[in-house]
Amino acid sequence: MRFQHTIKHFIRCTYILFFLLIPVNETIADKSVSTLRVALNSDILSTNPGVRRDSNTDVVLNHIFESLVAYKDDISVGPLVAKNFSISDDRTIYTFQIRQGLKFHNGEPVTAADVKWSWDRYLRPETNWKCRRWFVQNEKEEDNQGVVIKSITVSGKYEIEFLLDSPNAIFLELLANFQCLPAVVHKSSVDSQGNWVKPIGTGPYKFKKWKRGEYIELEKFADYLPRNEPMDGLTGARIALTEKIKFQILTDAAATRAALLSGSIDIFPYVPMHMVEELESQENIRIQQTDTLGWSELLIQTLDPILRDVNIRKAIAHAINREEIIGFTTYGQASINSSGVPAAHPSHTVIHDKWYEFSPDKSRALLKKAGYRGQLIKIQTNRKHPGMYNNALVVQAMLQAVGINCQLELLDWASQLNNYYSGDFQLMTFSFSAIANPTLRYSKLIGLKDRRPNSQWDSRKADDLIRKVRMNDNPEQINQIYEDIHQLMIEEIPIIGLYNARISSGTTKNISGFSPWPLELVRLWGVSVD
Amino acid sequence: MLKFIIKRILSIIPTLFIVAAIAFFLIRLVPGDPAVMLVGDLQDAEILEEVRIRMGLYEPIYVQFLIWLGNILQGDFGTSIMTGEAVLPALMDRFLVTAQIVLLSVSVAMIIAIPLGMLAAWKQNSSTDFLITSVIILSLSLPSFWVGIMLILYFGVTLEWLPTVGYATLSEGFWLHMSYLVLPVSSLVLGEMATITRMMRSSTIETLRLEYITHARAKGIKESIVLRRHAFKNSFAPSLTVLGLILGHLLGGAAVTETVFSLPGLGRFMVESIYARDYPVVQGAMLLIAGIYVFVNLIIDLLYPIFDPRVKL
Repeated sequence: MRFQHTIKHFIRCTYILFFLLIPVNETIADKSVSTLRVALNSDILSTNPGVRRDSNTDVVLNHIFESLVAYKDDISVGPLVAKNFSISDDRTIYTFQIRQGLKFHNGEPVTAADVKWSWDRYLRPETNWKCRRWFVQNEKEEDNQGVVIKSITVSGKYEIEFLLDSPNAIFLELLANFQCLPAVVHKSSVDSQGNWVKPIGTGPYKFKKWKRGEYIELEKFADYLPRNEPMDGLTGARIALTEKIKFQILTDAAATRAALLSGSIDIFPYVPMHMVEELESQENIRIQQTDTLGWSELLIQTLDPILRDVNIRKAIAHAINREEIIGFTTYGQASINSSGVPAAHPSHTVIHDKWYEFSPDKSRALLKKAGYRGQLIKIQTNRKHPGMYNNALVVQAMLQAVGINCQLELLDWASQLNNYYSGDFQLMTFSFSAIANPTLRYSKLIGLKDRRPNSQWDSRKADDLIRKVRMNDNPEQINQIYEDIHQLMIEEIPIIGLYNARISSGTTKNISGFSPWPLELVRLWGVSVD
Repeated sequence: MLKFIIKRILSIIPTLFIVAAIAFFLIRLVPGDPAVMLVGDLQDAEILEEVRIRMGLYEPIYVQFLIWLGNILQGDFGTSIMTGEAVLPALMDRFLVTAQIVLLSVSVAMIIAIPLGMLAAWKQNSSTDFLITSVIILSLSLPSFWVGIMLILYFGVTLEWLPTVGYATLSEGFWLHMSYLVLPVSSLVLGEMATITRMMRSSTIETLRLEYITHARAKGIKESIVLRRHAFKNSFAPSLTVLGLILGHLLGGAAVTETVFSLPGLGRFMVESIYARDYPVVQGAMLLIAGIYVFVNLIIDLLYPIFDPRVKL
């Protein structure tokens, strides 16, 4: 009896305690209108730009740091820290005027000397800057992008010159790269031994706190000097409209969705496709979509004894119905594209839309011609990226439908990435991150496989074409070369491009000014919480 | 007893050495390496090779092991390959989060499960016993991640009573801290409570059949005293063993719960490190978890004689 009374008493106390907690929720999430709460699906790797990075790290650091130039909405390059820039007639000297009045987060003014210091640091091997190879003379010829910085000279308090070894059409694009961001960094960011200490940049937000595994907090930089022109891509006026940004680490998509619905976060930057329709139906949620420059494809190991036969590769191309793949994998939220020039890119023409038609009959005829006898072909894929996995499922079914003996080989992401680098696969579903310049995309694909095993296209002809592009800055000629590259890709089929995906971002309806864009990087300047 | 404790502590050393060796070599058997994860898909194979050389991945494996072991003995667990932070402080920070959740959930589970199990045993084969047993079976059948998501959807999204994700430390306010723990603790309590209740029920049924209980009842002692004073200690001893296993298992990281609730705990950290092939973190975490298991079971063994004097250390 007394025992039961104790139980009842305990249950009563629990109820009281529970109800006492309810009012706490009003203060729990930081619902201050001056804080923007954004979900990240994994923690950042570092605050040191371009050294340890992934896409989430890029998002956070692009709010703290700025580079000389950056990408605009139309994927051209515009000035950012630079007020303007000029190129010499022989196209080897790039002169940048630095914007006067620009300050670092510690209040120090930005001068050309700071830009030089930053670049000298990036080009030192011990900094381990990921893109150093793009700007120096490499031992192996195939590693060179054709850009070698001979010298960086401070020619005035607010003027700096980059002297190149030879003219190159993509130098500015390389400077604008936001993935290994060549940010202008203050010297106090490193200690006397050159070790990274803290991020001091020039961006509209400054670094406040990083609780590993939990969140990263940035606060508005009160002395930020915005550009005069309107916000345009990563350039233009990058005005902070909120006092703080809190990047909340939420690794589970279902939990992130719940957080958005409950108002615990304001922005869910990359909504999984299967959640889009349901979130769109919610009253307080807005979904915005955009085509991206990321590219999903079926990689082919052309050195494989079976797949080295171009008729087999043509058979595979004819067997694949790209529209069906998009319908299944992306719920129709993608653009078919088998070209290295993204569908949303200004250089994409009707020539890039040419590809092998879906024709199981032609596929079977080609298999017969090639003398295919049912040898096993494996498609490597992983579960970490649902898009890759779903693509593999559908491709397998399509290949089996035409008589190709095809199996899935399910790996974890690290193992698959390892095989990508070593070339140890037959077929592999893969997705390349968004790259703004098709020349850089093709440079990644094209190469001699015995020297660079992760090259996808081992072709002298393709290599000659891409070298021509690097030396050319005439847009019409560049576009013509891109078309020639695609025609060659149709002949040689080194890779089967599937689509450029669309991303969907979810925000609560009290958020204004946010929009996703093709380069996928989340931009939070110009965004306010009503 | 002192001899027992010293013997157990000394036996930890070979145990941890074996765990260290297993942790070190096992993770390296898995294809892929941390350089691949660090480099990502935007770089070239040459950069990958450079990073591998810099990480010392081409040193003979026994050399790598001996270097790592030597550092461990000096208290240096290395630095995370992915983030560059020192491994031991990182593990301890995350362990504290996990420990709070686990200790709280086990405490709540025990407070509910012990009387519930004894009640079911006392009312064996009655409707009360049937109800309790049904609830236990249901709790055991529900996956904790599903329970977690349902709790988030109902209490966080629909009612908006509690935060859905995140964590606040004690220094940020007691009630704020507790509010973030309610849902994850609740999702863990269900499963643990069910296990302990079942154990308590079956051991109490056995205890209540013993002669000394019949003797106590025959003497006219009140039923509540019979249960509390005479039956409880003997019934609880087997559950103590199970408790030790549950505690050790959960302190090693309730990875699924931590992922669903976005808690910066040890389990989630360990899983992320395995996927990232962050060798120093994985190795350090496995050593820490092994140490926790050994320590918890030592405490349980030391507590055993309190509940069962027949056991001598």
